[in-house]
Amino acid sequence: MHDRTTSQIDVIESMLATGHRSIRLERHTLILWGLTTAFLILFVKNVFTPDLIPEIWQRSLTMNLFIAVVVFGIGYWDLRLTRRKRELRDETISFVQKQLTKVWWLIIGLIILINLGMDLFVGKYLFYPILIAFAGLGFFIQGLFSQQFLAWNGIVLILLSLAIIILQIPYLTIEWLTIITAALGMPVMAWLMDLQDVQKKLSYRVIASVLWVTVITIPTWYIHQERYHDPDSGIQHIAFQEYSEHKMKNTSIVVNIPAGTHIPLEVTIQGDTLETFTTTAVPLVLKRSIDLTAKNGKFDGRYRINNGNWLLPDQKFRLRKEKLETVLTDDNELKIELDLTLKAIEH
Amino acid sequence: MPSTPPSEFDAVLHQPIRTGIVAFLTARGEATFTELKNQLDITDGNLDSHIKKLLASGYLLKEKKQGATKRLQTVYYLSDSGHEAFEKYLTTLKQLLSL
Repeated sequence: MHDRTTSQIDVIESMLATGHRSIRLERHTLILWGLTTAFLILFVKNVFTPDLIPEIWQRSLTMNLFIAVVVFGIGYWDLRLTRRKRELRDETISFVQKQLTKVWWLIIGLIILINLGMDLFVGKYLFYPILIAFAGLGFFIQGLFSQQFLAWNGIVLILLSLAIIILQIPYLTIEWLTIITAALGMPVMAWLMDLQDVQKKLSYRVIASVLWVTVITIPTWYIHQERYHDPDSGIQHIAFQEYSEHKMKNTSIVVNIPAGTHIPLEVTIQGDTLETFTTTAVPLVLKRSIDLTAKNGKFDGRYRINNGNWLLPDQKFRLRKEKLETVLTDDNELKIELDLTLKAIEH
Repeated sequence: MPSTPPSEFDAVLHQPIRTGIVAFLTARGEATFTELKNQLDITDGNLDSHIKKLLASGYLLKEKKQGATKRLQTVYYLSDSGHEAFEKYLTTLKQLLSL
């Protein structure tokens, strides 16, 4: 009798667990949302440009409204497809799944809100790590009630976003990592989550996650290398004095600017309370020597400090506002004091 | 000397497949015939006979719903008396295990 009771308890525990974990994320959902995310990242910044809408708040609002409309449309399409598929298989959409869909909409809404906030009030560098972390959180919660591999990969995505911040990966590389994760990673995840062995065995889940991370990082690494490669080893190095005299328009060259060189900085200040003002009166003096690469008579933005690693401006430069204050001088005149720190981060 | 089983065992629920159906629906809320069949891994006829017993006892209810494809879908869910009976059955099992 005791055995029968124990076996009944086992049946109940097993079926309760199966009932709680009975949600299945459809393959088309991952593919649809992955491609949409990649499309929005590539499309939006090239369409909603300052030339098209000069005013930043109008541009940000229009852009995020467009994103919201596309996302809502895709969400509706996804729901229709899911319901259709379920009914054809004579399956239902359970109560928990309906609640999880609300969690996903909350996450998507937060991402759009953060995007709008960062467009208006800076901090854009962190947007993609936040997007990846939120997606990871969504997959983790979804995975708790469905395929375990999703929960597993949710944690992988959160760790990936942390790694991006810790390693200070350049913005453009992060953007491409996000595009590749969405356009390639999501369809691959859709394929992996339907593999029975991946769901059942821990070792297969580990292999699948390693495979998945490899699939998204290799193309990103390739793009990173293409953009951030060092100049050719055989490239000619000349002093800035010589370069400025001869110009050398038809060749690629490394120009050395020694420490102590004076460089005038042109600054344009504009805003809704100020007339646009441009001055070149700020004299800057180099504390350390800088090498710049020039191609066909123009600097291409690549630089290195004191023979260190070659960098691009978006890679390891931070411009930070230290102070912005209105003060009254000894002569009873108004003065605005602005302190900026331009720092190259080297490792 | 085996202990005496409690006399108030629910005869409808004290059967592995029916216990499985009720436990699954307790966690999931509702399910179609196909979903129950896939989870329990049994034949149509076998499942049908157990569902009929649960419907006759009043523990199980069914409802026809129309979805996106305009096709009617029959879904099964537990009635209030079904939930109560399952809770009582669980308590009885636990009592027996603690004896």
